[in-house]
Amino acid sequence: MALPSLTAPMRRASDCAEDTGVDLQAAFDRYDRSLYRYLAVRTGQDVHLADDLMQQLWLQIGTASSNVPPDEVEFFLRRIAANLIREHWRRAQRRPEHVPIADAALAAALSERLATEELPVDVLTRREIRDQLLLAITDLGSEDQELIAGHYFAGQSHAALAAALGVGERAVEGRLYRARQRLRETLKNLNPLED
Amino acid sequence: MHDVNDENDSMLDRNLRTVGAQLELPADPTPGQIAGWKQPLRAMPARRSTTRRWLGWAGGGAAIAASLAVAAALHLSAGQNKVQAASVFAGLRQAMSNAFRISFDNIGDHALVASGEIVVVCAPEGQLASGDAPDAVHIQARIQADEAAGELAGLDATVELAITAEHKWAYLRTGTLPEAFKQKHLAATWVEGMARDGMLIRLDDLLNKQAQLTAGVTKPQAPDEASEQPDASERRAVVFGIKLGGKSEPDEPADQQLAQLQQRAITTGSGINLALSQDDEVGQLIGKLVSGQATGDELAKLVTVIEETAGKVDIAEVEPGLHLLTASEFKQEPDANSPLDDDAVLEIAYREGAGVEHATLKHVGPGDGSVRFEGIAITADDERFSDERFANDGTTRLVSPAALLPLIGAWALESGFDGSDASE
Repeated sequence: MALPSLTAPMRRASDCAEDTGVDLQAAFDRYDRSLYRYLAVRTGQDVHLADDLMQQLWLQIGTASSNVPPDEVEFFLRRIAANLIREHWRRAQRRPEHVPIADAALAAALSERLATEELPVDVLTRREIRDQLLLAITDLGSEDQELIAGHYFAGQSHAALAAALGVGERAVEGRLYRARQRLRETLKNLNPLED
Repeated sequence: MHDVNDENDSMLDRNLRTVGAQLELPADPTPGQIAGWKQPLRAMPARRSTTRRWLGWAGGGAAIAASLAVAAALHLSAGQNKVQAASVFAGLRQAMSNAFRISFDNIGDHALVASGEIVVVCAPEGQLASGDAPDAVHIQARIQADEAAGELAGLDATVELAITAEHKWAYLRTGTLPEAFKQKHLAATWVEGMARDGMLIRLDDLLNKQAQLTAGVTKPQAPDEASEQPDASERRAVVFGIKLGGKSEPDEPADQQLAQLQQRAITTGSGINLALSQDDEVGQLIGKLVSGQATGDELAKLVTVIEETAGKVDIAEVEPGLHLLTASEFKQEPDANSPLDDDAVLEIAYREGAGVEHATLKHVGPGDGSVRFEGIAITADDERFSDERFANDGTTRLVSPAALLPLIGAWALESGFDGSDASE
């Protein structure tokens, strides 16, 4: 039986640069906030558990030796994070009740309703609706997440976002538009098996 | 070109504003958190939890070790003092139901030996005997190897483990690991770097995640594997422990090897495998005793075994009310896997009205070691169960158990603890 290299766990992420052409350490730094949000939501905002999983993620990218195309790095990291959280709950055998679980039918319906009717606050803040929204938002790519979080949750204006991103306000509007569309698509395709 | 005034998008925008005003995303990580992710040497804050099954695990290991003293009793003969021997034995069992300490010295083989102590607190009284978990377990051992220990020659390591409702931690200090060992086990270099000045692992998270002696270790997965559900083949059994004195003959049947592996896992609670045989009637009785399953008839049978297997028993009243039982010349089965040598001597001090004060087994194993059992007055609040002395000493590193899993998994694979043959 072939044994995995014992040195693999000790390798630094930066060591992988030669193998992959991608600096995974830098990628981790670039996407760490969105990855953390992804894990935090899926742990029921258990900060300690999310921290543990981020540690494991950091160690696992140190073992990654496959070639990762630069434009797939974020997807690659997200898949590892998804595996970690899924494995965690599989081992724990049960999730606490407050941990969000994707509901495909509900999320798809929500995707439609969000774009076609003004939903009252009491609907949007229902536990099951909130869960689908948080799961979908944190499933977005880093850039979309940052825009949605900054604009809708932190109240940053287009101008402020434009200044932060070093682009024009028109560009921010366009990016936000695409982020919203991707959020709808994500909601429409929210997969319980992914979480 | 998109139409930013798209009606649906405008509605979505309005709804998202409402959502954003009402809901909160998880707070961004602090710089300290981010630094912690990249430095597995820093432990994340411990989570609070209590897993009684793990207390049972640790207690079981300690009880197995405690059974060394009992094992001696099983192999001695009461001679003409059957009633008194039975009283002594009953007193020993009773003492094991309260707080007790087992001190051991030079337990192991010729080259690799351990010295230290195991402290078990059982409350309420009789808990261990009923098979439930003790309230607290603390194990401390120093492991040393001489030149004959092969790749481990020169090893001098200290291990500690504490499991209580409040504290769950493990400590390892390796000093400098032998070069030969590091060359053969590359991960050892990493461990040495972490544990040279002491490494503290707070086990709360680990115990929450896995209330068994085995821990599944997630293999690194490529994206194309990611969507697959993990199956049993992706899990690797990890055994934390140190095997001393156990024998694993290459020509042993597979089931015996498996039994030894299980035995090794069971005794991991004490960190030490004392090669207690469980493949004979005596071993089975011991197992029942330490798990609290022994019946009155079986206890009587143990006393009978004592009568049959010790060649010489002396009981003397060394002071008024204090009897010292000395047993020796144990009859060994030719193929027995017993820790007792021919020259082993068991001494049990039994005080009338109070029970066993201590039991000492001398000349144990090839290391000519000794094991001493004694009841002590201690509670689970004792400072020995706290990791404070390590957490604040300025040299010990705090390590998250989660950060160790990939390394442990690799090491387990190498060691064949997953059931595979590492030599293949």
